[in-house]
Amino acid sequence: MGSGQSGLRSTGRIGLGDLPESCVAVILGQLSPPEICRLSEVNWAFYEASLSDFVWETKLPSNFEFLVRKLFDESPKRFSKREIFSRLSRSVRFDAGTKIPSDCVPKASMVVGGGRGIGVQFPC
Amino acid sequence: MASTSTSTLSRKLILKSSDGEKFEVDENVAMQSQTIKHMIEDLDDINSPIPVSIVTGTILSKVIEYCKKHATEDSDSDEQLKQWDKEYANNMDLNTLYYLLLAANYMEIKGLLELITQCVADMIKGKSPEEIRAHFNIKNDFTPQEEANIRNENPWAFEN
Repeated sequence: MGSGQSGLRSTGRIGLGDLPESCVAVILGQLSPPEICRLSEVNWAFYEASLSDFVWETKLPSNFEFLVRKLFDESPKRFSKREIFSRLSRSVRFDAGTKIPSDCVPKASMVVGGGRGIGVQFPC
Repeated sequence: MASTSTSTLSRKLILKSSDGEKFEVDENVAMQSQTIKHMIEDLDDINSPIPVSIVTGTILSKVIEYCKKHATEDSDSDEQLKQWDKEYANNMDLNTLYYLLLAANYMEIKGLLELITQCVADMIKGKSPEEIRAHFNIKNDFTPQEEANIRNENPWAFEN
């Protein structure tokens, strides 16, 4: 993406698409997941930026590594952060310990809010 | 954020833009930039101009305006500072915002980077991909098939 820092040398017109990926990733970090997905449909550069782990890290619950291990029985390192968010949003609609062993989290329930964020409640 | 004890003792530094413009600033103003902070640590002669070699004078003057505001004694409340930030960003056209963003990224000024990225993010919010392309003058370089594939990757984000 973009012309990187060399773009600063001129004073000509530049656009959102000329910004280095690191800057775009920071902008994406300030958007909600549906907004990030909408932006990823704009062009290739934004699509690539929308895959960045940095962007999705902030959208995941703090214990996402625990959740991935318990729910999918796999190491979180195997997935990109975006994929983890997508998997948690898609498949985890459960209540009362059907997927999480009861000795770990009794009466666990997870709330997935339409991609706007993942909330996990453990009313123990 | 503001340093309360150093301003009266602050040394003067000279920042030199890519187009040769020089700006004399207090050290505590320049130190808002992590990049300059690291450059100062390596400098033998504090009196020689510090090159900010990829930022033009026009943009550097705006960066310094921000750094001065955020380096002064904390006479302003957080609320006043936020209001100042908002007006500062609102007074910039889109092109200037991009250059400021690149400058804040290069100079590592966290507060300015966050301010500008938030401002751009606010412009994106609530717009469809087509509206975003029109607003920011971005060319769609997807084939119709690629666009459909990417849209199909995302439906989980729009449930509920």
